[in-house]
Amino acid sequence: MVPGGVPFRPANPVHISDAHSINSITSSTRFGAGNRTSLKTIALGHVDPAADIAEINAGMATQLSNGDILTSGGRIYGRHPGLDSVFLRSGSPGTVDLTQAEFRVLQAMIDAGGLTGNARKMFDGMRNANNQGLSAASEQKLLDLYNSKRP
Amino acid sequence: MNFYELSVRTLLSEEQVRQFLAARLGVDLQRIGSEADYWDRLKTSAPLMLGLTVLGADEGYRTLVRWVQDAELSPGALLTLAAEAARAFVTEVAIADVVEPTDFAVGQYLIVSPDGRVRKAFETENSARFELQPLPGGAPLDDVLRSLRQPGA
Repeated sequence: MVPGGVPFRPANPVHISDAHSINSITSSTRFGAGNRTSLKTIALGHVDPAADIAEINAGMATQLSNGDILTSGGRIYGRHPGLDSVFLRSGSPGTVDLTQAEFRVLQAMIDAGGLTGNARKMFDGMRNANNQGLSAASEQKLLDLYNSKRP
Repeated sequence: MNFYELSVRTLLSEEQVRQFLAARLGVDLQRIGSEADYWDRLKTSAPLMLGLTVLGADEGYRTLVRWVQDAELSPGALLTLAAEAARAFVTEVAIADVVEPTDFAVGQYLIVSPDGRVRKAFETENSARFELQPLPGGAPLDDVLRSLRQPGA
């Protein structure tokens, strides 16, 4: 248990949407941020958010002083106010943060089977247009995330 | 360039969406194409103004409207566009929460009803199926738009 944390047992089972894992993201997944500079936290393929949720629902997790929930794997989940749903916090082990531009390329990669075809076209188009959502690290980050996806 | 999303409760055709966006955003229909075409033509003498993707689903919010465009829409403009879509297609339309935006996408949305009521909601499913759980209450569109125009909003 971390300092300031207390054992957490939810009154009702918590659940998480499938928008935060490379294994469940599809071309229909919404980015869902009201600010154009917002980031989306995505778990790499080896991370199993469902296992974290099971741990939380079994009363094995820790509630931090700000209300967030810490699991034994070090991942932190925020809570939607007034609801039983949670979401993955940035900075958790086994996660990366994507801009909206990177997320669109990732979805195109999922459709194209990698950074090829329309995904490559989109990535190069954004880069040639100096899209602020792409950085020098974007390509490798996207490849690492895509390649971590479970078959 | 800017990316936008509308989630529509009912199933719409791509042509319905194209006509709607062209009219509401003041874009010539000929200058709306697919996202792939948008990137293809970006550095040509005839660029598209809007690259559109429309995806359908069997359940949940059945139409995802996603587009990229050079022009930036203010939070109020995007909310107004969602309200116009809700009215035009007589259905609920959801957008990311532009009233209380967060640094990270945490699954927080606004649902606009055809009568102009705006409710906050959180995602419960967001993959092949997209579904939201709305919070009780809500506010009229005009009140929400007024709050966006307040200094510091």
